[in-house]
Amino acid sequence: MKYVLSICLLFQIGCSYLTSVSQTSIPAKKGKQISAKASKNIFFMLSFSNKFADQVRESLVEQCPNGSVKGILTKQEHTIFVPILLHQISIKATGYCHE
Amino acid sequence: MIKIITLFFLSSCAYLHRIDIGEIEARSTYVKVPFEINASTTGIDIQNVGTIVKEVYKSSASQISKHWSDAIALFQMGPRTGFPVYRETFADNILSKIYQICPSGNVTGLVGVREMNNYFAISGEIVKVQGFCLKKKTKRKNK
Amino acid sequence: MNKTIIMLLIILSSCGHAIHQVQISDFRPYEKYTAGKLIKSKATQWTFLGFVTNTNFVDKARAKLIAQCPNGDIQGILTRHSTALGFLSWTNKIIMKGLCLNSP
Repeated sequence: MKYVLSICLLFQIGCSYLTSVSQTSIPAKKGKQISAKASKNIFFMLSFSNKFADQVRESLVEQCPNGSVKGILTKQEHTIFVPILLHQISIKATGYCHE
Repeated sequence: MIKIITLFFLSSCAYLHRIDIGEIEARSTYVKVPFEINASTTGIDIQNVGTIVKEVYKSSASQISKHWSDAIALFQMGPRTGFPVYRETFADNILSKIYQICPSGNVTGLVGVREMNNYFAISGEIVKVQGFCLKKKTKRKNK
Repeated sequence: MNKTIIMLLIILSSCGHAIHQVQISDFRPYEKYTAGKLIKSKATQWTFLGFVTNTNFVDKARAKLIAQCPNGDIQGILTRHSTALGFLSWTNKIIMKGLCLNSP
């Protein structure tokens, strides 16, 4: 059992659940596809800040400094590695950079 | 019976599950006309129904009903938001309704709310969408 | 009476769905309903006791929607996230609907 758990932790394999999803309007001229991800590991179900979520938008802006980012799909996922002990919340955003 | 009535009143609450706020646009020659669309259906919690049957009938047979409802609840496993509903498409025609209200497509300031009114064994599962339809200002004729 | 209640519970336990979220996007480029065609895409993910390691079905729904309108804008996208509940398993669903505007 310990062996299985350590493998799960090593390869970050856990059960993932979709918590929320949003999609903005998709343009005809799509441009380059860009994506960003931010995640936070939560121990013992204790979390005191959600500032990690701001990194997603900043990353998208960095990848598309001179253009507009459109058609953004945003997903919030909750992954359970070890029940109660170790969870992960991640936010993934995918969009098109139109310059 | 008093227990059921108490549970009913204590659980008759409104729950906000999700809220999404979209971009708000303003144009000088347009006026924002607000609209609201509600879509709802009834949700049922089998385990709470079993609890009510157990409390109302108070016989050994109704105890079995409670066990049955717990067993039957195994057939409704999965992540839940509110109580399970039987019509999953109840909110799918919201988009058509928006276009009926605002055929020009000048819709802005959309707020989508997923909420629930809990009545212990049954619930009202609601999807509410509020927004503005931008309509051209009518020019007043100067006398 | 007891048999009636049990039968009613069995009937009520089937085909249960949980509606998690209904989100509607912005309406850029603000075209009329008659200027385009309503398109719809759906993607599902079946899971046994929640043993799944990704949420790629969402990206599949989006890709299917874009495939139906490759050269046009898609405005007013309604995204519905729901779960069809079942016995020891469930099916996550994403449905996306939008107005495909033909490119000029």
